[in-house]
Amino acid sequence: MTGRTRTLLSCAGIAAAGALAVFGLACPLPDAPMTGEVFAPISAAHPLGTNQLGQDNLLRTLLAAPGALAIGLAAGTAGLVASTLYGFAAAMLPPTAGRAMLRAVDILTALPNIVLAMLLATCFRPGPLFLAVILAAITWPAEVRLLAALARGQMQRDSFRTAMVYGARPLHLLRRHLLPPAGPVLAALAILGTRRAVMHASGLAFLGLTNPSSPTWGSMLAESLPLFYEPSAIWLITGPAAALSLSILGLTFLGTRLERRHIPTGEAA
Amino acid sequence: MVLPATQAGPPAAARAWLLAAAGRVAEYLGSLAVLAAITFFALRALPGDPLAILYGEASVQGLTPENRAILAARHGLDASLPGQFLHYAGMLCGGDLGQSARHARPVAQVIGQALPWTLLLVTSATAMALAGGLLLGIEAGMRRGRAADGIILAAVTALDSLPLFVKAILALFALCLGLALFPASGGATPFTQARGWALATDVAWHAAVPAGVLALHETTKLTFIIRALVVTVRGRPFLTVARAKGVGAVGLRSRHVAPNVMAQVTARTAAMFTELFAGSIFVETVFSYPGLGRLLYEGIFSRDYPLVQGLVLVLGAGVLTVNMAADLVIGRLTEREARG
Repeated sequence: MTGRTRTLLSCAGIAAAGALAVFGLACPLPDAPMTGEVFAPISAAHPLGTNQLGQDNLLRTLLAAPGALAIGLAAGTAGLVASTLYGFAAAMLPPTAGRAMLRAVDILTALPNIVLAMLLATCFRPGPLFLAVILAAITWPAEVRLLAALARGQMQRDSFRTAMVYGARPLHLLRRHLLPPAGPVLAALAILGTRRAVMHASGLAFLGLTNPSSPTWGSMLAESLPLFYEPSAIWLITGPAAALSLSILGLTFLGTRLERRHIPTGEAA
Repeated sequence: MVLPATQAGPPAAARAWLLAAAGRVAEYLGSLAVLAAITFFALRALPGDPLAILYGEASVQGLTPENRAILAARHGLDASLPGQFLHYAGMLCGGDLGQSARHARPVAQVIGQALPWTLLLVTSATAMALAGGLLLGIEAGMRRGRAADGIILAAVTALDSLPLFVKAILALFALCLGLALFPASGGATPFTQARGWALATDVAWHAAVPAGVLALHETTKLTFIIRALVVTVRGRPFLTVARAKGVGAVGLRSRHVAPNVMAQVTARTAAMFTELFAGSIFVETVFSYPGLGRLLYEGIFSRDYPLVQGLVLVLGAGVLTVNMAADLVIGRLTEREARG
């Protein structure tokens, strides 16, 4: 496969995931009908069997996909936007204020964020949109230092200083001078953020902390846990476990490929 | 955060370290304050009577006005919101985490009983993850670009893409139910009369799979980090010299490569505790292990808000304290190294 085909494939994958995610947010799907036989083994009609309520396992797995991707993408992008703006502000402000802002972020980064997300989710039992907000809120501080360093690097350039001398507004500087060169890095961070959000969201759903009216991979696995005495329970976990792992694996590949190409690390790979 | 290693003479270096340490302690206290604030305001943001939230709807309904006033005074509910927060912070400093509605006991007591189980899981998982991560990471790094490296990386990447609770469910299904090699739930055989070694064996037997899954989860992350560190070390002349002197493969890895990556690995191990404690929640839920995570899961389901709040505080404060202690120790070590 040449580099070009790979890029095209990656773009197609992202576009498909994005379309699926927009669809997932726009029209949440109802749960699968409870019409089949209970705990049916795999057959042509039910490729992954049915669950304790007679719902088709494969259908439920597929129904959960748009929601999972939508929450992941929404939380990943929202967190990135927040950390970009904050990092830009920390780089633009006078050094003392900027340092104070970064210290504040250190304090937030030190907190065990997934445990805090559990507390917030316990108290508010969030729907999809609010869940994305919680996930974005707990993950945005992690990238601020990198983005502030990136912004500071760009601000050393002559083009940026010239624009400053001409009296460009901060928003203009951000849009025309800082974002374009940082594009690939931001894309990599967005995908890695999405990956983390999908993982966290499925974890919260597994603990029963999300809206139970529509199926999610995490809640499907949680529902299967008390049914393990049933030998066909293996088919209850196959679908959601595979879907979850494969989507995370896909995001990992995409993210690390972009990251390796565009984010300088210690390793000369 | 890594404390700076200074190049100056001993007194100046000591002063710089003290200054950095003071900054780190201030940051630690700030984190604790933010943690307390979030736990406080999350519960206050709930609609309804705060006493009903703290003690459960059923237990508040039959209260006489006098008893209600006593409870309200205990939580400082008559004060303004900032005043209430200060009262709450005072309660926390005195070790009072409130009353668990479900267990009908002080939250601190309930947590104290479950804490040893979680510590057992987390410490044994840390040891196993360190051993596994060092073994795999050093092997992959030393053979970078060759077949073994590719296989290790592929396996670790695949494992890394399985969320922890999926790994735990698969292990439960395969090892505990399918092959029935290990017990599927609990921390020890119920009503066991065993003492001494028999009891220790029983507990280890029950902890093996949960701790193993937790360790596996962290091993994957450590392997990536250690491999990257080894890659930067492996081209250095001292390894060539050691090879020329006829040091064998094992000696090379254990006496020459491992010591050179240990400082950074130690720093990462401290950072790992956050994930280990969060991970123990999922592992203990899947294996019905009697630790803090299981308590949290039950607290979430029975809406035992004081218990959940107390657990988040204890887990959070524990993680913050470990990280701060590690930063101080590492800062001291690197400073000593830099001084020679």
